[in-house]
Amino acid sequence: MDIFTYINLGSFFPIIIFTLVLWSDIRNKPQFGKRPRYLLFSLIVFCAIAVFLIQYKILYSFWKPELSFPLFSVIFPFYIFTFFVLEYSIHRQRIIKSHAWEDFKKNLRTTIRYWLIILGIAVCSFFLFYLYTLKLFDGSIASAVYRSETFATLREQGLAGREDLKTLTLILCLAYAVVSFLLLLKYRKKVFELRGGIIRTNNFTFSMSLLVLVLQVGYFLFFDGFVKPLHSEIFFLLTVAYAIRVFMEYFYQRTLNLERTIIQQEQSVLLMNELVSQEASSPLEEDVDTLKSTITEELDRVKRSLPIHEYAISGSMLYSLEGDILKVISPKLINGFCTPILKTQTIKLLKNKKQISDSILKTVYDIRKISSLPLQDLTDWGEQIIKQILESKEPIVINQIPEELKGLQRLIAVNPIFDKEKLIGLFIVFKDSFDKLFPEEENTINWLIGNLKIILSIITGKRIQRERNRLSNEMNIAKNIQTSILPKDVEIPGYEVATNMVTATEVGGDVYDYFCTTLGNYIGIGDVSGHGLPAGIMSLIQLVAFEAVVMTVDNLSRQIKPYVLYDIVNKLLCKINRDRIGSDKFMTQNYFIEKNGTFTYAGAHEIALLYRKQQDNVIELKDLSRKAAFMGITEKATAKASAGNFKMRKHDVLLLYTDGAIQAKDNYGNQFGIAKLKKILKSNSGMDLNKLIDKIMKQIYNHALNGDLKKYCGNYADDVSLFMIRKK
Amino acid sequence: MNRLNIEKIHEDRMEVEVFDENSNICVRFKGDIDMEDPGVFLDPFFNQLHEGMIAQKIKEVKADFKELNFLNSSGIKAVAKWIMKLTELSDAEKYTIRILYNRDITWQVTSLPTLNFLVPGVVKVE
Repeated sequence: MDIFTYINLGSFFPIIIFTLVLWSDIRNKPQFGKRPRYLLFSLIVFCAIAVFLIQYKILYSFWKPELSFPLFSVIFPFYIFTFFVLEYSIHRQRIIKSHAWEDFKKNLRTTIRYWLIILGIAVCSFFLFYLYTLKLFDGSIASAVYRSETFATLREQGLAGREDLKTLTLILCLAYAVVSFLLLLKYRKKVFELRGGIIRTNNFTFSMSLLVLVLQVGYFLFFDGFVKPLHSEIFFLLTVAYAIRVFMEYFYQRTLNLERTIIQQEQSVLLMNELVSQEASSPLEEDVDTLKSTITEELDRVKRSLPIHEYAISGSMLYSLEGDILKVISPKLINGFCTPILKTQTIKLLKNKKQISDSILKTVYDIRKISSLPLQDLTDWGEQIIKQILESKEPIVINQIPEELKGLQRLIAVNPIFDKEKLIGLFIVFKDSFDKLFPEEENTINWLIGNLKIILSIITGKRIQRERNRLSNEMNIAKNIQTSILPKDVEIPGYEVATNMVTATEVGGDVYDYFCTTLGNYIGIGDVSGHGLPAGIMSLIQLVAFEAVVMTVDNLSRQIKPYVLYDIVNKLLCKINRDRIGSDKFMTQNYFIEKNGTFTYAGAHEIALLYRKQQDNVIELKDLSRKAAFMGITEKATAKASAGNFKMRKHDVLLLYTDGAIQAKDNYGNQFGIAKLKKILKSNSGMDLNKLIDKIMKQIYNHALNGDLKKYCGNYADDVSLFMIRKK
Repeated sequence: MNRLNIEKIHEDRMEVEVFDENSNICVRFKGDIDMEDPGVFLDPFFNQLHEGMIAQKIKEVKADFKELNFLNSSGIKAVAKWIMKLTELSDAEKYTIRILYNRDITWQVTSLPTLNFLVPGVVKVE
């Protein structure tokens, strides 16, 4: 045996081991489908060739030139078959995913007769080989003919000679080569000839087989068909070709694909980042254009990459959620040829694009309704589809087009866009001339869904932010109302007056007011429980009621007792605030009427402080706080028991306040307290009231600096209001 | 456990416990009630207490606030809501609420006595 024989026979083992390892690596990977199964099949055929050749070499360790033709013609088709199975295993997924399976089967049927011819030649050759091993037939075709009686007769008659046999062998050999060549050509042209682009152009197997054929024919020609043994180098070429093909497709291409995928992912992340930053900074009005360009650019790109452009996605539209309604927010989001998701004959009557868009824009879906009703209660086709999507969370591809849409569309794919568990949009694509999606299109749709989800989430975020800004503005207005309804410059004849209010973070409920009449000067101070808009509303109602009642009695030139005023306002608050608005707030309140230095009062608020100049002390007016029910809880209560009076003399100071002032806490949780308030009042009783009020506010501020003010980021826990008057 | 089978509430810094006191009931409040919405705990508590009082025909409940350092306005509202329930009762079902308060704590001095005026005759603030 020559060196090539050893190399050839030895080359089988590493190739078989390499391919086996490769196979075991990919056999359970879902993305390979059934490809590994066919790879294994081609390997088995390859092993059969190896076994056959090794056995032949061992059994017949000397050259048998006369066997070269039958052996070649047996093994060559086996190689071709191995290559075919290998090629099939390489392309299977693409063929199936590209919906070219039917075309492939058709190709296979038309080429089957050529395969039968190859099989016939292989069977005949194998028969010749078999006869030889049985010693029934000695030598090559040429030698058999040479030895036959017919040829002996012809030779005796001088009609045929040795040269003619050479010619015969040559003719046989050339005929085999031509037939094989034609078959190879057919095999290449036909079996894997699918819509362009599905199978990557690769003539590797064909070229290798052709090279082997040419070599074999060359050998036959050179050694005149009699003497040439079975060439190991030729089979070695085929073995190497098999190895290279496996390596290229299953190893090299995989690595290449992996790299490509990584690059693509990096690019898509970059694109996404770009999109997010563009989207986040653009005004809400430009979002539709961003959505439109994202969709159209991607769909155009995938269309260009497809083998047949006519089969590409022909239309798309984007539904997005606004409140509970899924709708197409702009005609710009309807691209290409779309139809509304309706089972109605009128769709075919829509004449132009405008009418179709209008119909789509009108077709909206109420998600809350769809979620709450069972599927069988939904009559609308679109609603049924959305219901199924809500339940399965999967896209729905419709290629059984209902009668009403037949002739218009061949495929409708409804792709949901979920943000966590919430359906925030639908990306619907249409095909008017093909009923399946190509893998590239599916990938693009998935990519788009990811990006659309981000854009829609940002849009929703922007909308919420806009709404929040609007609400915040309104809250500011409400907050302004609370401070603006308070009197700015309080002027009570015969008195020096100073007021101050600092609000907490939210709208609070501190309120004070005054009303001077010829029959007496009315003063009110109160505080609504809790914070927020409801507290602001209650304080406003109270203030309006106070003003209205006092104005009315003044108009009638009458006077009203503070407890009567308290009861009226209380009833009004129970009626309007508690019953009609449904608020559960209540409020503390004191009303005073001053006439000639005598203050008549009623209600329940805080303990007021009264500085007596004559005695130089501060007394607590406790009865201002505890002798009536708070306002707004029950209309049955009366404040009569709280009625009382006190007198103010020259330079006496009355300090009214709300609980925010005495309950402001320091970092140990200690409240500011009445005692401190009394102390400041006493030791600064002669100070200008505005300055005194600033001083008290400053002390409260210092007290709460490391407590409430720190805890609430510079704000008090509650509104702090002070109302001071000094008798001139 | 008390005869109304009301379990002790211990939430945040507030503690509310019900005791039997001879033939009557005592509710003791301790700590600080300054959470955003104490009604979440207090409303069901007072409902249970109210229903228990009626069912067992107990005539007086003592609400002891002496050890309660702070009660915010939402807490006062919850107490007021409980007291207002008494207006819905017939004379036979009515019970009285004795509120015990600490005169050293300002909010108690200013707020708790006002409860006296919600439903005249049924609340005694001492």
